[in-house]
Amino acid sequence: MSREDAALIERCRNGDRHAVQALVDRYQRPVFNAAYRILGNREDAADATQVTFMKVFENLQGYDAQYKLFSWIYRIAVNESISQLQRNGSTHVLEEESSASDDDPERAAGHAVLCRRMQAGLMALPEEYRVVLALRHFSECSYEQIGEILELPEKTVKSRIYIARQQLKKLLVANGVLWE
Amino acid sequence: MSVDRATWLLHAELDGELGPADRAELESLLESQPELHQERLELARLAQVIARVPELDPPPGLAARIASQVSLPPPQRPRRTFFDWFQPRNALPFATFAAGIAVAAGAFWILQFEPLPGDNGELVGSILREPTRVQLQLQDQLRRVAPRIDGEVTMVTPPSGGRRFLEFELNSSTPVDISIDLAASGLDFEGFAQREAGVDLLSTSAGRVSLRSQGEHQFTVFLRAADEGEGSTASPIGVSISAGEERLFQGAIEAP
Repeated sequence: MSREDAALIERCRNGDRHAVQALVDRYQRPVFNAAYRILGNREDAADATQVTFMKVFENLQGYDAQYKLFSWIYRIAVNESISQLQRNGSTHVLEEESSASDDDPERAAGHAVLCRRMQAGLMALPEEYRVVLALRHFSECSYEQIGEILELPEKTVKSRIYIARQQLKKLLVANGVLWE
Repeated sequence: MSVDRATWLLHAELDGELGPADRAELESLLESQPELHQERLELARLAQVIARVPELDPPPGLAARIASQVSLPPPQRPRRTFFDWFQPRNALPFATFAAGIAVAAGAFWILQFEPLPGDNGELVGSILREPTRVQLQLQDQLRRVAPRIDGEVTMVTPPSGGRRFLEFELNSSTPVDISIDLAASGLDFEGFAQREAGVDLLSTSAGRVSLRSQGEHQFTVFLRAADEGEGSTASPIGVSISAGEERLFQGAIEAP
């Protein structure tokens, strides 16, 4: 765990609300993005992000510092996202993604189409493959980190990433994002 | 060397997970199997497309909403009740505390201009004779609705009967009003004692005891049977805790 994380945890444990805000600011973006890639819509991703942080702070006293804070938060986020998927069924809403501002309308429209098709491709993957791709490509986790988050051997992580990419490639070729 | 191994290496290269030995192996494979170049190219193309998908901004206000709803657990400390506290090594502080209770109870009786009940002298002795007790855990209920308070209430019934002690261990970040409803319990308020100053006894009228507390406090409310001949009560005692107009907790505790 980084010194900055350790200091934040300690301050949160002592009831410092500024530290709470700082911890949320630090991790809300990656957590939200990972949840979005797993769930497929912003509203559910925001809910999952909120529940994730509630659980983080509820369990802060019992948090074991030998695990990376980042991995611990991601594990909660992934589990919460998967639970939401199971609760809400496999239905999802594909929507226009709004991202960091893009002043060029054509480029923005192109991005929106790409985002929609990419997310459609991800949502068509089985959950276990979607999760590893979300963590690898959208959260930039290493094999080791993914293994720690999902509590899987690194070999299984590699194998899932390989299969997931093969499947996603086929889907993206089929919907015109990639060509062979 | 199988194609599978080469594929593993291509993926590892894409993910930045290739060590020097693996890299050398991959270079060698690329030289001996030109078809791998196409696979490498396709993988790189896939990664480029994924990389073009922009990161999303979380909804505005999400962080503030989360931070405002987080209930911070109070700093952990070992919980000790009055009886855990009584160990031989703590004899002196215990004696001091017991004397404090006796003085507080005595002062209360004097202020009330009431004759001392016949068994007052047994007050401390009763505590030591393994009284039965029942606990109302506030923490779980409160965590969901009241992030600013934590604690527990324990009702103790000494074997001699007739009396009840309500032991409070509360930790609140804001001033809270504690209301103890005795109306249906068949008990009357008898006295109040606290380990350290900080809890105010506001009123003791009409079958209701009101106190105000802020911070971390341990205090005890002494109750006695309204009817001197009554040994036990069946109806629970209501305990509610509020911060201003906001009701933080409402529960009931029954004699064991």
